[in-house]
Amino acid sequence: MISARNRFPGRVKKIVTGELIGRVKVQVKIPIKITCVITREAVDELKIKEGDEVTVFVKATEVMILK
Amino acid sequence: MSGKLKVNFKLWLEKEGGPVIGQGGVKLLEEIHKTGSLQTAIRNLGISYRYAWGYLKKMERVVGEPVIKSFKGGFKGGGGTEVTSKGLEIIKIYNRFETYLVSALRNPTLWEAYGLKTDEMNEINGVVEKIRLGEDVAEITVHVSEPPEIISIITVDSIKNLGITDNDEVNVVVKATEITLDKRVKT
Repeated sequence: MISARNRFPGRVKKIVTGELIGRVKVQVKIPIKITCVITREAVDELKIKEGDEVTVFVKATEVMILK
Repeated sequence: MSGKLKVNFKLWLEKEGGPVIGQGGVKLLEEIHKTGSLQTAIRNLGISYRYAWGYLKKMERVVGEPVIKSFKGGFKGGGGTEVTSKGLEIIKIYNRFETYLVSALRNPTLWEAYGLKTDEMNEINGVVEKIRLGEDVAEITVHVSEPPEIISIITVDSIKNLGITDNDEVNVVVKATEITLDKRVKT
């Protein structure tokens, strides 16, 4: 079991491996809903409201892969 | 230009902007500590007395206290120079950081990480579907309608353990707190 709500099915497109670290590119299937938890302060500052077009950022090292 | 580029560094200690000691100075102090004599130390290192003395006195001015202590030969002879506790402390600090830097330079994971751009960001466009405001935090649900490509940087061991290859069906997992967002700039 994994508590993270953001779990998206996809297909591995390309794997590049080095000596110790690898980079996995996954083509994620749609539609998906991404849940993010940010500070209340950030919401007020960005003046985000429902229906706004946004860009979601995730560091590649924070992305896990499950099979 | 030919040949492979090599990374190197020079390390020195400073106090309030004034240079205290570099690699050569550490070698000098260490040699004095080892031989118990400034004369022997400069002979072993092949440097002039004038240079060594000037270097040490300048260091003491910046540090604000002696780094070496000379004593005259007594009845049994054998005067010499010893490194003070401050001097030994300086050697220790320098060597600690040098070891740290050398190990960082030799760390293949670190350099590979730079090569693979571990600062790589996934950017996914979507539309805010729901906002739930808490007292300190907010939970935002973003609806994504264009199929995104998501990059994951994991260890080769993990890739092997998962047994994944191209075209495999997988799940991408991201903790909600590791995600940040911004309003999309209209172009």
